[in-house]
Amino acid sequence: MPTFDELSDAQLVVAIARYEEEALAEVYLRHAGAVLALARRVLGDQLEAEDVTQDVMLRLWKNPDRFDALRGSLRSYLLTMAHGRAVDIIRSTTARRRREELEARRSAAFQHLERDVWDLDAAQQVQAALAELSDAERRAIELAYFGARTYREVAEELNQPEGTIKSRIRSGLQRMRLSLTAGGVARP
Amino acid sequence: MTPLLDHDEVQELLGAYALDAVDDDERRDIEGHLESCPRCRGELDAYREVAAAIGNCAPRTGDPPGHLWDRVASNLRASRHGREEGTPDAELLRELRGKLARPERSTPPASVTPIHAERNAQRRRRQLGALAAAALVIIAGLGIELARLQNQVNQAQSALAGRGIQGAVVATLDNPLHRGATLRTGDGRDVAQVVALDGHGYLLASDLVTLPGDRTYQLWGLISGQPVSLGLLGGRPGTVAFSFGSAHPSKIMITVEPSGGVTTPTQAPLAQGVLTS
Repeated sequence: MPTFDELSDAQLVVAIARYEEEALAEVYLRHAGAVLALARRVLGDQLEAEDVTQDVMLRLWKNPDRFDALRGSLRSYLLTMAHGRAVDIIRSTTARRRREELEARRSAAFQHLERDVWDLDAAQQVQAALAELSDAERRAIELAYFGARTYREVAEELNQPEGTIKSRIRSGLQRMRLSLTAGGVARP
Repeated sequence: MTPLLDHDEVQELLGAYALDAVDDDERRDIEGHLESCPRCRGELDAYREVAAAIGNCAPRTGDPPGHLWDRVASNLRASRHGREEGTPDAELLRELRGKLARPERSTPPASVTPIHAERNAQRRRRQLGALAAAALVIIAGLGIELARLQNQVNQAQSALAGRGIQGAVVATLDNPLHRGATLRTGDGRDVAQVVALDGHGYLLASDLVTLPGDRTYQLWGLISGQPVSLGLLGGRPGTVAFSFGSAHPSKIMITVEPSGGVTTPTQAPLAQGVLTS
């Protein structure tokens, strides 16, 4: 019988559905660092980021069947949950008051993305894909994703029509998708 | 409620949605549309993957901490224990009662009535234990149609899946901005507690009798003087989550209604309480 560290992510999720704690521990080892990093990046706070990471792991534990391997990787699934949860926290009334304070702490945008990353090759490709975007597209995606803003808030901040921001985000993601697919980071 | 967004409008928003950058109303509409539109689901999956690839590059600071795994692991055991034994709700309820205790209420000290208190706790534990497995979770917006109630229950279950309802209640209680209410019957019996924060609330029923199959408890918020349905509680409510968006209910009420629920109360409230901070 293979040990948990030999199992694929999808096999680990099956084991989690059978309440195998060690399978979740293996998922934690593989992915919690990335989840924590994203949550910390959005929230600007280590403790809140740890809460989000815990939420994400428990959500997988309680509802492993919500993960659909056909729709994306486990890493993507966990990061998507973490981002959603972090954004909820930021948008709550109490957290909103902290936004300015957060802004000051948050380092400038995408420039530092390549630092300390686990998967350097993928990170370089993401950097390259971002570099192919127009400044306007990049800025809109960055403010929305890491700044936890709605596209309306982005529009207001950049003094642009909402429709323009909406389509910049979409076109930016479409172009990044093409570029990441070509580089093998995203599935075709 | 008719969705406000058509296919094309949803499609234009998919990029923003993948970045969690739409407001709550749009999110609801988009999620409704996604259920029936494989094309939009496919496009969304592609954007989500790109978003996750960007998120995957956030700067790390070494391995995930061991103490955090310890926290996760202790919660796993707690949640399995909860499913098997069905007791955590009772603990939670006591904590909630403690936090909501009003200074002006003359509650006898626990030491005076140890037997009753213990018996009540046991009864409550049995009641809540049986309910924990089927804990009904309800989310309801303002002015929703009854036909959508069940769908909203499912959505709320997804929304709560991450932390478990008890974690959510504890987190709400821990926030000093939370509001609370004790729901009391006309003859002065406390039958449920409510805590609420930022548009979300939780009801912990402690003393509601099981209804016959053709009846349901229904939860209402008094909003601008009008009772607005916050959802169906079923015939044996335990701990239930609900949502009221940006509205500010001044009072929370429970009525007994036909099992499909009603849009306006047909009965006087069985129990009610003022939501105070």
